[in-house]
Amino acid sequence: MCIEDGSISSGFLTLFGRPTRDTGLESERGCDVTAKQRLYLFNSGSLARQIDNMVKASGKKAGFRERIDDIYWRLISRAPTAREFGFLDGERKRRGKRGWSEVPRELAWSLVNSKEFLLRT
Amino acid sequence: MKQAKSVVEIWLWGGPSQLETFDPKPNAPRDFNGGLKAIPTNVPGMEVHEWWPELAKCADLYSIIRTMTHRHNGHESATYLMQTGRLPGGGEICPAIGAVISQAKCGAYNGELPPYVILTSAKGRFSEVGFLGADAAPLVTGGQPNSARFVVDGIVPPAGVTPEIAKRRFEMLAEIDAWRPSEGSPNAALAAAFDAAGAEARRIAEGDAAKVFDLSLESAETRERYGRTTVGQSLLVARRLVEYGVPYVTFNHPGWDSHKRHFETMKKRSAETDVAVAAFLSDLKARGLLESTVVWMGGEFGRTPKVGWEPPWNGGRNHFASCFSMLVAGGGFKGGCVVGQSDETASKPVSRPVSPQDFLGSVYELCGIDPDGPLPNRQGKKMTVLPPQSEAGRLREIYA
Repeated sequence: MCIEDGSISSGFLTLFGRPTRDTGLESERGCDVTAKQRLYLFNSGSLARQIDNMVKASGKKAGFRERIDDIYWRLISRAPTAREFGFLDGERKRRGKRGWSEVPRELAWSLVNSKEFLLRT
Repeated sequence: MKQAKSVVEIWLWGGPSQLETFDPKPNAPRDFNGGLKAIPTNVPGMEVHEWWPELAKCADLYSIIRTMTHRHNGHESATYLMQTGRLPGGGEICPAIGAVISQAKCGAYNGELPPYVILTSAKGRFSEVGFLGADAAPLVTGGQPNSARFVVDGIVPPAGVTPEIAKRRFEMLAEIDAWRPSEGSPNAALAAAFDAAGAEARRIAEGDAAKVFDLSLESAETRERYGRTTVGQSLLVARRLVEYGVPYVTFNHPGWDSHKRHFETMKKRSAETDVAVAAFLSDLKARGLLESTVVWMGGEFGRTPKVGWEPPWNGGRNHFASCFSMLVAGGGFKGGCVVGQSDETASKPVSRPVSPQDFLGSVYELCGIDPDGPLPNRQGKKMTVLPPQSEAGRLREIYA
């Protein structure tokens, strides 16, 4: 998101606690977690488009393993653990030829909605 | 007195002209009225501008205030004043009336949608919630109600996400979301709040709330009656939100800041708004909801009575706060009344000036909120709902 001027309003930034710019204090920023924020992360159309673009970009990678690694690195800066990859690979096999391509998209959505994405420091 | 349950605010962003809405001056010179006329309404003696023929047929449902007045001709200050009853400055951003009323009423409301819903975009350049913060924040719908599918960001999943896909995603999330902050770390409390907020969000997304925004559940006839315009379909959604029980609904209706080519802009804006608001009020009345729902329509100020015919205005009107009009209906406001009288060019109040605080204080009173009482907040601010003022100016002459 690109904001040229602090007076430009953004529903997204307000939702996630942008301060009103009355003071320069970081404490003015709201850090509450609200249901409205989680709804946005679950269902927002603009976020879904960004996830789609990212998944498409990862689709250029050769195999399933590389795609999954790519999505993990892009979103939470690490490779999947053996347990995580085992689960995802199981899903790939279970969904079969026609269904497996949804797995990377569902994974990207899940990572954006995970606690690790927001809170791991 | 019975308390209003809900409020619908139709915010005419930019400052609509009083002369081409509810304070027409057919006998003034052309430099003031543009050569346009007033028309009678179904209430004897009550006239509106000729561009509002549908509202003229149901004037018994609403009242007009013709003498709104303040002294701030800039959009930001005037909006802040009309929404909070205070002037900006002093290091405190106060909450707007929508945030205050929805927070006061959310205890008695048990719907899944947030108690404060804004169609379809926020006012911008002014935070509706002020210091009340994220928990008072409105649900701002985004999307376009006048389209085949009104996609409300967050509530209605984007096109292509079927209930089956949504279910699979949450199953995957349950597997993937295994990381936990260490016990006692600052993020542990945040993680718990994150999970609780997620559970609440799922209840909203998977319950009946999304149906409120589904206009395909309305008949084609009803959709036509409101007009197939953004304002028409937004007010139809507003009616569904009121039926659902949402305490405060705002429709932000932009496009009234007609500095240039005022008459062309106003004619188009008035036509679609006239149809929509008349249908909305009649529908609320027919469903027995008008008595319990305050409806108010207006902007931050009016427009200069004297028309600027010369370039660059080419028939324009500028900002004007000394005298402007407001429409109120329902929720304890009587219909068919006119409050105040302006001079022969709608330039200043001649009788019964109404301040922003008088107006806001009246809406608060009808909602059962004492304007002189403390403003509830978690931030520990000691502040009254409105600044200390006389209650003499409140619109009690038009309380039912």
